Amino acid sequence: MTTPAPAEEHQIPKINRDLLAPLVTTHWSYFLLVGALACLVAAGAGAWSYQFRTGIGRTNLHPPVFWGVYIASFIFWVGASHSGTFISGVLRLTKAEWRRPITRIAELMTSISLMIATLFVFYHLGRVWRWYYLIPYPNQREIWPNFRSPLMWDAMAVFTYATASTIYLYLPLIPDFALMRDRIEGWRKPLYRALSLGWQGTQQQWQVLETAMRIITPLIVMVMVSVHSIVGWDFGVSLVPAWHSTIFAPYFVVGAVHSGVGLVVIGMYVLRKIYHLEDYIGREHFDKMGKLLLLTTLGLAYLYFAELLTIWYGNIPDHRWVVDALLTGAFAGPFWFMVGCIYVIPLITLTLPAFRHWPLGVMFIGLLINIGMYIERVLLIVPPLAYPRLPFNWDSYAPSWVEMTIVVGSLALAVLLYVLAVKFVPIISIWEEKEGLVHGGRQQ
Amino acid sequence: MADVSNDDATLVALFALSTPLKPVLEQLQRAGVPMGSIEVISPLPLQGIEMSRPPRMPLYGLTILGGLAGIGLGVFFTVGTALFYPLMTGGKPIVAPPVVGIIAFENMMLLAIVTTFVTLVLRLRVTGRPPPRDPRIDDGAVALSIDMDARAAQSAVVQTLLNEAGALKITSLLKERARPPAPVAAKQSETGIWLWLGCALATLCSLNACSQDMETQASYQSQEAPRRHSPPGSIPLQSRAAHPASPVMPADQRVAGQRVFQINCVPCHGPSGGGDGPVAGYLRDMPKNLQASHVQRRSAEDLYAVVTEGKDSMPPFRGELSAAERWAVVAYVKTLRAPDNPTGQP
Repeated sequence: MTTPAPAEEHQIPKINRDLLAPLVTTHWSYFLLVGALACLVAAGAGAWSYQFRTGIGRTNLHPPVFWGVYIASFIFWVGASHSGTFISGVLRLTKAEWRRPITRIAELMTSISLMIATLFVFYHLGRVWRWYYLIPYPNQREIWPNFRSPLMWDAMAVFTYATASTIYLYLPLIPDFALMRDRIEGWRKPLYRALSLGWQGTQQQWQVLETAMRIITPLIVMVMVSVHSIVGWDFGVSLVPAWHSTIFAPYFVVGAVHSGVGLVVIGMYVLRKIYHLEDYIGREHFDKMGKLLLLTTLGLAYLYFAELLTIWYGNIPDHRWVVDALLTGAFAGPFWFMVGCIYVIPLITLTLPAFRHWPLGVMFIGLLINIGMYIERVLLIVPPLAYPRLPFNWDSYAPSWVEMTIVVGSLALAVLLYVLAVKFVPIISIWEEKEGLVHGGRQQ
Repeated sequence: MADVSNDDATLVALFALSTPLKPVLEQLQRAGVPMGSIEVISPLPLQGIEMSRPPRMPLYGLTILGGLAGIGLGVFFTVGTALFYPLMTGGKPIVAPPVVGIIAFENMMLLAIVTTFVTLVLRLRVTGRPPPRDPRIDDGAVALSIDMDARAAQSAVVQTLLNEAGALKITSLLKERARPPAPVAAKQSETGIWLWLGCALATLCSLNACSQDMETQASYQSQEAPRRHSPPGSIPLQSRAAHPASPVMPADQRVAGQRVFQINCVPCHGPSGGGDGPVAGYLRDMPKNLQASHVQRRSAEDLYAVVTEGKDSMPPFRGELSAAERWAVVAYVKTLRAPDNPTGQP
């Protein structure tokens, strides 16, 4: 067996101390943040209840634009959920040592993003109290779900992904729960005891856990690819001009990873700053994440160009209308802003090694990418719907205040859940950090 | 260095994480301690230590079984329901292979991952032993837990051996103290099993409610014999002679009729019924002048039929207005008079 040097051993108590600190000490500003977020969430809940009571007509959805910011947000959040699986799954598969301090941050984002994404499906449903009509069970109304509908594939895929990613978040947490069971007193202790499943740290338990993770990691990476492919097919298999394209599935997957990695960078920066995790999340981590972002930027730009070029060269009028509206028409402003946010600025900045070592700068790029990707999701949905094949029907769409309030409230809910989770689970996997120290040769 | 003389106990020796454990384990084995009675407890997975116990539940095998079950479930969903309820949609075949593939893939992944997880949980439950857990383990130590059952003679040998290997501390846990949680845990798990069985039974019972009786219960198609009688009090639409006699039209009915008229009729027929409402100009046919004598000459039943069924461009109001409201609006229409012909005579 590899044996650690005694010097490394002495850092293990420090790891425990540092990484458990966020769970046991709370600054007053934390409560202020929770309060502010709760207010925003309450505003969103109020808007939803208003829409609930008065009907889906409170949105600005109308023919021909029957999908709006709710569906755009659904796609955005499902995309954001690719953060955890990509960072954690792919990096675990490739045994990248530098993944260790980032995996938990990303996996938490995955689970929370999927919860928020699911909410958006419900916002979008009219008469949402009858949502269970969608569940396949033998019923007296003789309504059976139509599995040939892509929306059914979607429901299946998102359910599978949500279940799998929650399990994937939980597995590496088990040893940490055991540690907290032994170290943290108070109301959380019984919860930790239940969640740690009687973990002792025997070699057999480690072996079982590592085997399970070895099995689940490649599976969940495949599920990740399938989920956003299916969301892409929601559009691709329709006959709407500018949606009916084979490129949508890979384009969606790469786009999802793009915004997901951007989101992780934001999380890394904020958590590192607040909890002084500079010893764990170093500049080299931002450098590596910057390189990943550069990769997704280039991949996405390539796919986007291929898509637009095909439509432009094909010159089918009803497809051209949509592209013209994007490039020079009514949607040109947000379109070029989006191009700047997700392609041009990341490409210019992240190619510079010095920039990639600047955490604030990389975080800023992550923020830009996410703003840009949200606009991209809206632009993906609205222009093709607003320019249907018969021009008499052309129209536009802007979200109503109810829609905007719900979108903002849901963002606040995502942040709130994350902020609360930080007080319940260590944001850096403690045992994996120790493993990295002892076996992986982590640089201190 | 502790020296513990209790033979029938579990010995727990604490080592620094940097101590090479493999030689210690080999020495213990040579001293006659079977590998099966040794547990190595560590804060992180150690490399290079092979514990000889065979796994009780094969993780990989169960994952594959779960995946296969998932494929079956997906095929049941897509092929089964489609064949039970063969509904044509979107010009696709009843059993559409790409769809079967997609749903089977998602279900395969779901069940494979969930099966792996459940197996892991069960195996952790099985392998978990009562805690001789020293807080120093998490701060970077490794514990060797040796079950000294029926090895009384070797206790001293083992302790010497552990001390020589550099144990920081050796403690002995009495069997009585170390063992008790086991029966309790067994009892708990028994309760748990009953609880699960109860839940499963309740779920099965509730499935009973998912009946298909709408398919099999008596029903009639529109032209199917025997013809059913109309509900009592129904008015045949086609035979006007069968209309009930025009009811008496008291003044308050006219007032109610005026209200209904102003809401529903004014847009086309105008506030005074002259056929000059604000919408009239946009219509293909001009709305009727209700003050005209040929309208006023018609019977209340006729006007009622027009309001109910509609006429030419005028839509039927049977859905919007109740019978009483329609009679009321007829009563009001009968009072409409052109200003220059107050008696309504032609």
